[in-house]
Amino acid sequence: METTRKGYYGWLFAMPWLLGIAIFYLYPLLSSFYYSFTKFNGFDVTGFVGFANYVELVKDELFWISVRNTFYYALLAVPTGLILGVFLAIMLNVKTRLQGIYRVIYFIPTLVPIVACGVIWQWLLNAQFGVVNYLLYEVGLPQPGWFSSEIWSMPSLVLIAQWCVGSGIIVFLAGLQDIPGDYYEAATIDGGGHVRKFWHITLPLMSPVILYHVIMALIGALQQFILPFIVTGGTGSPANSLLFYNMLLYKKAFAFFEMGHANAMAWLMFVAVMVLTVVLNWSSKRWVHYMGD
Amino acid sequence: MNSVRQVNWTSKIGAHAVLVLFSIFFMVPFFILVSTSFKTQPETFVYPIKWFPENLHYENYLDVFNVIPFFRYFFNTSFITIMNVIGVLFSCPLAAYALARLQWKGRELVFYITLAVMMIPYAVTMVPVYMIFAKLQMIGTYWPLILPAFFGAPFFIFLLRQFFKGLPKELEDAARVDGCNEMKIYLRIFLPLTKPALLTIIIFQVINSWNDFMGPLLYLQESGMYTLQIGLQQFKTSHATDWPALMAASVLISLPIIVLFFFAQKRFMEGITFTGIKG
Amino acid sequence: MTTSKVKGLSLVLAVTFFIVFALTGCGSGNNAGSAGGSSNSGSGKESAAGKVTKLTFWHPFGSEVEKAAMEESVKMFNDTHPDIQVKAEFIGGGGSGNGITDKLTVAINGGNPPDVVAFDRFMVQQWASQGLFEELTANAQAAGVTADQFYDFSWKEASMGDKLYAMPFTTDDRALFYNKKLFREAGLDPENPPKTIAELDAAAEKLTTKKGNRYDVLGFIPWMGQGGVLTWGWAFGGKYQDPETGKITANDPQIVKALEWQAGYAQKYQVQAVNDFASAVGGDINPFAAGKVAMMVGGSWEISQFNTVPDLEYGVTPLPTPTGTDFNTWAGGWSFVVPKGAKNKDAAFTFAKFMSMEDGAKNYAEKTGWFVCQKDMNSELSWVKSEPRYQVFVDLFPNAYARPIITKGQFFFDQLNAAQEKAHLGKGDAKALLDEVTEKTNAELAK
Repeated sequence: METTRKGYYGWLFAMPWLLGIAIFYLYPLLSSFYYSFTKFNGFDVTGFVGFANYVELVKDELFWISVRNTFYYALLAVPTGLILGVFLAIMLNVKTRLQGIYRVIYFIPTLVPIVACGVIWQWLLNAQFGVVNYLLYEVGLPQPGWFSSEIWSMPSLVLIAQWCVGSGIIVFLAGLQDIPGDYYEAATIDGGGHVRKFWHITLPLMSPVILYHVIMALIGALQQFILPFIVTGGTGSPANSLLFYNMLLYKKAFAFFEMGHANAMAWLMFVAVMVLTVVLNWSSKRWVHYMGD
Repeated sequence: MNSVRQVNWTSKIGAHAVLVLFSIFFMVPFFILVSTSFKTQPETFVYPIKWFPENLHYENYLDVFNVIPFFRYFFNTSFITIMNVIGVLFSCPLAAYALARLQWKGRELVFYITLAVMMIPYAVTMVPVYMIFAKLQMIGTYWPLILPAFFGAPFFIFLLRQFFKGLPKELEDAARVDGCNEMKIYLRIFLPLTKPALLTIIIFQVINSWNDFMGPLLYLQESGMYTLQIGLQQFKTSHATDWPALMAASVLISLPIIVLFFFAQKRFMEGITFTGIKG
Repeated sequence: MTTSKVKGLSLVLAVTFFIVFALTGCGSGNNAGSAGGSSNSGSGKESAAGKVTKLTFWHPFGSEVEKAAMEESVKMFNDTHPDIQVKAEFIGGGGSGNGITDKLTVAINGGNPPDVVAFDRFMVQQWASQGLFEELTANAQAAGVTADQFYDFSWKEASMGDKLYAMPFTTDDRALFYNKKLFREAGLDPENPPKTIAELDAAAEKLTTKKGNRYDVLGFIPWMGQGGVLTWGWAFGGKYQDPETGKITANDPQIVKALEWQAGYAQKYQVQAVNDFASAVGGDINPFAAGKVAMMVGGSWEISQFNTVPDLEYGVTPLPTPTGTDFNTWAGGWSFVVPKGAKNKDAAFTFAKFMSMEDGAKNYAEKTGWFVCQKDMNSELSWVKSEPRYQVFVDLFPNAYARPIITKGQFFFDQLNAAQEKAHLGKGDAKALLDEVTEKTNAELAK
């Protein structure tokens, strides 16, 4: 009796969200699945083509370039964001009088409109006229080509993306606040130094947050779109080194009128992210520690 | 005792040093944003860079008000933002509570679906969702920008679920003994306890709605209804961009949320919890 | 227990109701909202009843000057055409995506398109071939609009075969800008700019200076600004398209020569160093204005900006060619189209004609500094009369090319740009790269 009553409430409470899933996610996802098997220019479906869209994608050189770039970005950006985020969060968690001010400073970049953000970094990193290379030149260091160089363009983008790590820092800060203070006090009495405390208390107890962040950052990295789009004016130059998966998808959908291809791409991405998340979640059993377990 | 204090003291100095160093990385681009907003167009591209404008051309800010109906857009953006906040405050805690504290068939499945839908690229949902709103004759109104919030957002539901899971079980047991029904337990006991978490999703939602460009671009059709982010586009022409004015507008657009964050940040941090993060 | 159930349910309902009420309250209080929704779909009915046809017009010109000029032109139309009332709406331009094209895609899809749209002429064929625009041939014939009233390139760009899909509006073309002060310092005659490619190369070498092992001034970068293989392919006398078959001929021997010539610059001046100079994206940090690059390919729109730069003394001359004769350029610009499913095609055409050939066009050009495609108007503009450098651009229009007019335009340019980058980096020989571009594009066209 008790469970049926509760069961009823469960459905009732979740009802808006269940409707939301159906209307705003499931239906679009299913229609996208259907379109991925059709010849579709965005306006008319002109035929059912089976797996042809998928086959053509696999044969498309640009598709693989975009896959490679996107994974390369994720490989650079996710660990960098994680290390920087955890490190800065620990620093920001040190109780000082300026704590509030620091936190605002580190969060401000996430509030700046992305159009302005992209442009300012282009100025700063302009190979010939930018401030960064000017300063490097003054102190006698070599000046990379940043966005004009095929090799440096991706690291440059990762650098810019770090500027917006603010929301990551917040998540880690919150995680740090969950760690009971007496753990550290006990460690201090045992004579543990900062480094020991970090490895034996902070890191294990933060591992659920880290798992969460890695999953979210991975999804974000694989779906990166606006930043490279603005920085390269939609071209992905130099030499397609900043052509991201979602940029190609967008191009196929709205510039090439190949909505069938675009939907096939979207589905491949969806499956890839699902698989990665499941793998991460599964591996997490080995390295994530839950408090109170 | 003395040595502990000393360790504290040195670690504080160290933290300050690191934080100041990184503050430069985080503040310099913002500083250039502000500084450019007071420059003339030719001054913007002088090499090597001018850190400070020769004269404070505050007229760039006046330009912003001349080029776009700033207050109108500000009001529109605020309206959409507030409605979205109300929307997620209605839908997300409800769903999160159901996923965290109620027993029902399909709960686990719905939780996994909630995680999965976070991974759907926007390009996939864009056209089908537009078709729905077109059929409902809602294009050109604020509805398509507001309604979805009332049906939940996966990220917030996930966040709140973790928070609800972290609350002690004794709370609801006591209430149930008192004969409260589920809705009362939710409204009277649990919802008030999630205030910090709700504050967190408010801030995140404010930022999302405030900076949303694609949504207003697709759905709004009348310039009187536009938002600030679309207004930002009006400083660009086919061949050139009025950078000082665009920067001034960017400053004006981000200022309100910077102020908001400044006042909210302390409680904001308390709002996210992960102790209960588990499948 | 039943009561608690009812109570719970009623609470949820009450909350929902309250929110919905609050929303409707706001929604209906905002008249602009409901009007916006119906102005497109309801305009047909209103015209029947009130005899005034209402048109919705989308354009992406949001800057202070362009928007004001556009609104003024629209007002001039409304004042002189009491039976047609046009409502102009600025649609956000850049940002993520192309703005107006994304929005138009979904609007046509949702059966809710505007009546007239200002559209990049370069994309007209691509969209028209997908059946997204109304054909305007009959309207043009009835109104006495003919090809010879417009510059050749613009009319071709606006049609497919002999079918017209757009009314050509504004245009722009490219020429060589050169820094007179740097010319004097290098011992060159500032009143006698290079006319042949050989003269250009010689001047570029003289103008280049080094500070230590860093370039201080580069004489010329063929692909900076509006340059690149597209521009120089034509200057070298190449043709990108076979007029008979419509096939792409990017491996035309003259275009191959142009790309080899560019690659020569990349090698001679070290491609990395050159790209560092050239990467000033979108001309935002302009190395020419800063006196760091002595010559550049640019458009007329740059003149008004350069004229605000102190100490920049410059001239404008047609792009050099191998022979020093047959100067040419390429031109782009905007047009007016009527999307598929728009309800007032005839009225829309009347408006498009006013805006592209009559006072609407004149007013817009006069106020914004854009040239128009209608042949006789440009030399009469007051800003052209007062700044002789503009006339260089006007004189080039009759010999201007439009970008290859194919249904896969964007695909072709992506390929061409990729080939250019590879050639600069020495990752392949110009002929082989352009062969590949040609082959791939034609295969794509055949699909």
